[in-house]
Amino acid sequence: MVKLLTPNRSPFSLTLRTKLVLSTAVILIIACLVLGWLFIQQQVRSAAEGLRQSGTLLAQHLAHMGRFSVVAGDTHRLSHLIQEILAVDPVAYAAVISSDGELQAGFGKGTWAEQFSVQPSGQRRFSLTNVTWPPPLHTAPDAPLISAVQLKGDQPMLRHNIEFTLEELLSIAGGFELPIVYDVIVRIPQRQFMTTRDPALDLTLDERVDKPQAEGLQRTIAPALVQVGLSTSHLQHILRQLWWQATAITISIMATGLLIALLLARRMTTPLQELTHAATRLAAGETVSPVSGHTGDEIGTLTGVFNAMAMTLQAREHELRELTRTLEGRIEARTKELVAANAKLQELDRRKSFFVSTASHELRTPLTSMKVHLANLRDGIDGAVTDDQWRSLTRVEANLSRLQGLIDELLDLSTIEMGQAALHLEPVVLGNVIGKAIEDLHPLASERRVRIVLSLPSDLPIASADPNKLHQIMINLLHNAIKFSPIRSTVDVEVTSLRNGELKISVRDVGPGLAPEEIDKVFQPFYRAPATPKQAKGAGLGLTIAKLLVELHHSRLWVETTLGEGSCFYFVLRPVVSKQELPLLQYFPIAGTQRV
Amino acid sequence: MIINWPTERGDRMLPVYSLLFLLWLTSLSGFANATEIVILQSSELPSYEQAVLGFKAAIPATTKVKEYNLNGQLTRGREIGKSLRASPPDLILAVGLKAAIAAKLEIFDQPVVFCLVLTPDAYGLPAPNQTGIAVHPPPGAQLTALRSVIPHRRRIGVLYDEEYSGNFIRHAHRAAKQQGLELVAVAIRGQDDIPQAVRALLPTIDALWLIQDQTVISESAIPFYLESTLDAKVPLFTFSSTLVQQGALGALVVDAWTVGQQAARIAQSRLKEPTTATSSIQAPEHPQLAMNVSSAEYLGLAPSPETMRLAHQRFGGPGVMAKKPGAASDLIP
Repeated sequence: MVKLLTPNRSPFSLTLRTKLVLSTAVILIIACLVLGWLFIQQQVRSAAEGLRQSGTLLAQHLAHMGRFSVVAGDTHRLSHLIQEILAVDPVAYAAVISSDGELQAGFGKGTWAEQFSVQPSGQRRFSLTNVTWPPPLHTAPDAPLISAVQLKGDQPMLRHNIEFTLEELLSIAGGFELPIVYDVIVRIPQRQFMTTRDPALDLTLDERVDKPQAEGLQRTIAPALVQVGLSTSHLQHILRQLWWQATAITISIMATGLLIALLLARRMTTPLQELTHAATRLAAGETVSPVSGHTGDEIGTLTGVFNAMAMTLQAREHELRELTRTLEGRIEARTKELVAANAKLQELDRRKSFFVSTASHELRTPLTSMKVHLANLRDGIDGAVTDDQWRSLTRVEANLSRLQGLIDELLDLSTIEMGQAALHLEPVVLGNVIGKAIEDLHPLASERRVRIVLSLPSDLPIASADPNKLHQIMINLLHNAIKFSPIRSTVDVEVTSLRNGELKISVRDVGPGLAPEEIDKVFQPFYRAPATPKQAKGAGLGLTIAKLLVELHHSRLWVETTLGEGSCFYFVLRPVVSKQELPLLQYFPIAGTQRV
Repeated sequence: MIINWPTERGDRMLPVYSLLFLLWLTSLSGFANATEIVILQSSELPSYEQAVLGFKAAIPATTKVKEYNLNGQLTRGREIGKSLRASPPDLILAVGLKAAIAAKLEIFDQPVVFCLVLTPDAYGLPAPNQTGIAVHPPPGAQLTALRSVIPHRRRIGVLYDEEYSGNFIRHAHRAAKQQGLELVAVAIRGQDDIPQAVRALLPTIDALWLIQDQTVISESAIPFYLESTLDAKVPLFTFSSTLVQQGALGALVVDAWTVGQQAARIAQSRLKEPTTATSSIQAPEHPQLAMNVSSAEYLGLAPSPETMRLAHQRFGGPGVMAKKPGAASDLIP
């Protein structure tokens, strides 16, 4: 019972606590990773955007401060302004480019200083101009053009994506520094003037006969561009710190979450474990004290219900135990009564058997005397008798013989039941004993015109049996078969050797057979089957005596029958196991099949 | 065709018809005697519109005025001039350069008054039948105004193109000498020369005088002048109230509406005395002084109360404000 309640767990099965902790851990890990990644992405965007805005402001400042120096061609002042811009830490380079892409002034720091070279013509040139020129500036005059440039070897390359990719972020987190700069290009601003209703300025600016000259003038002082590069080195350093901080925070949150999940799972599963332990003990029949559960949740409710159920079960068990104890006493008393009654019945049965034995024995003596005197009368020794007297005497003699047979059977039955039937086992040639029985019943078989067929194997072993009692058994079985066989039918007697060496004897008839409910009754004394012919004589003791005699041989007699088709009685005898008995045997030459 | 002459009843009405006919003839003769003026306007510049309005406000109401707009096309002006030769008006007012040139090329006998022409002598103006009004006051007047604003500054720098402003500068030299000023004139040939010239000039002068020279003045160069002079703390004296508003110290400016009124007075004079000798350029009347008080304060100048009273236009431009550290600015990020 206990085993049923606690089924065997698979080695791969998990406890409820483990499942709770694992599921919480999975949710926590996924949530922390997603949130951490989003946080890092947001911080990266924010930091990069801040850097780009700083670069835009620096570029706009340089454009504003140097706009008149550009017009005046004051490269000395432009260079001074650019050096001021370069003093700002993240600035990698700064340059002023004319509208046709020529470098007016520009300098760089570190590796970017090498990107400014002197051409054979004597003019300086910025290598990045080859990559970014012409810049696709927006129509809005103040809008900056921001792009990302990476140095590969010594050559600047324009990146397609301005943001860091995942691989680059991982490289940065791993300690690598990428040579990436944000390139910011802004226009040098031009100031607009109001000329409405100012005739002097209107005429000066607009009254020209030859307009192409004015356009040419405008073109000569076309606006230039300012290009500022911002190194992402410091940004990458910040991102690296941010990455590890975010990782540490994520791990801390996960660890804290797991600890809380563990505590919660323990809080949930401990009452369940106590309940399981209590239920197991309850199932084993032990007395269980109430499980403590003070939580107000479902587990607390379950604990309360379990305690109530345990109390009810224990009360019922106590009642049942009390009832059992009382019942044993009563059964013991009844058993004593039954034993006493049985002893009384056995005594009565012994007395009955003794009475029957004594009566039968006492009846046999006068009956034998009566049969002697009657035979003398019938044979005319005591005087001549008429034919009618002779027939009467013959009929009386037949009835006396029948009465004697009945008395003999009763005597045999009582002798066996009283345990006074001694068994004298000796080697028996079954063919001789069975043949003797068949021969003894020849008159009856002839009268009923029943043919008895005996089948014996050629190598029939010697059986161990009491020959007289075996003869009696066969007489009773054959008599029963002949009695219930129809006229001109056959009774088959067969002896077969079984695999274990035993010998099985069967007597088969084609009589009316037995109903299933009659099979057990047929061996009871004085039982007469409903299909017994009216002219059949007998007291119903033949099969009972045969059964008892077979059981005396430590075997059993059984019947296989089909109603309307006949019956077959079987019993088994053991063969002789000791060869010292064999010389005492007397052999009768019997053929394989003897017909009567 | 059968003509039915007046009948007896018509004979009775004949005096009435005769009286009405006489009255009509009288009115026709009066209409034929009204002055007819044609206005040729070069384009739709607001200044031209103001001058035309000033002109029409000053002429008598009975004067018949016809207006033509050249829309900036000289050929259209010449076609109009040819048509006017067929039925010539009493006087032609040419507003703007192209209108004046068209009148010079097509109108030979009728009096012409022109105005708002920047450099008339560069285009052979005025013609013999023309009288013009200069756009800018004479150099002496401008230098007088300059001196009233910055009385203690002597070395006055000026950029000019010999092609447009050679004569003006020569007059200016004389006027400056008369007023005790030293005019440092730097000739330029194109706008490419401006930055170098200004850089070289600013450290050597007390003030920079911008004249109406189309080589010197352009939309790109104006902010350069304003910022450079303010950066060098050199006062800038100009001709435009707009530049004063943007940060120049002062200017002697001419109002277009006033020029129109002046042109109307010249026209009436020419109509009354057609034989009076013409072919002259008159200086604009009533030029006005404009000042930027913020620039003056930034430059450390303290104009006299009299000068401030004479200044018709006073501004506080952003150029100076931009140079003040800590103040709100549109330049320093």
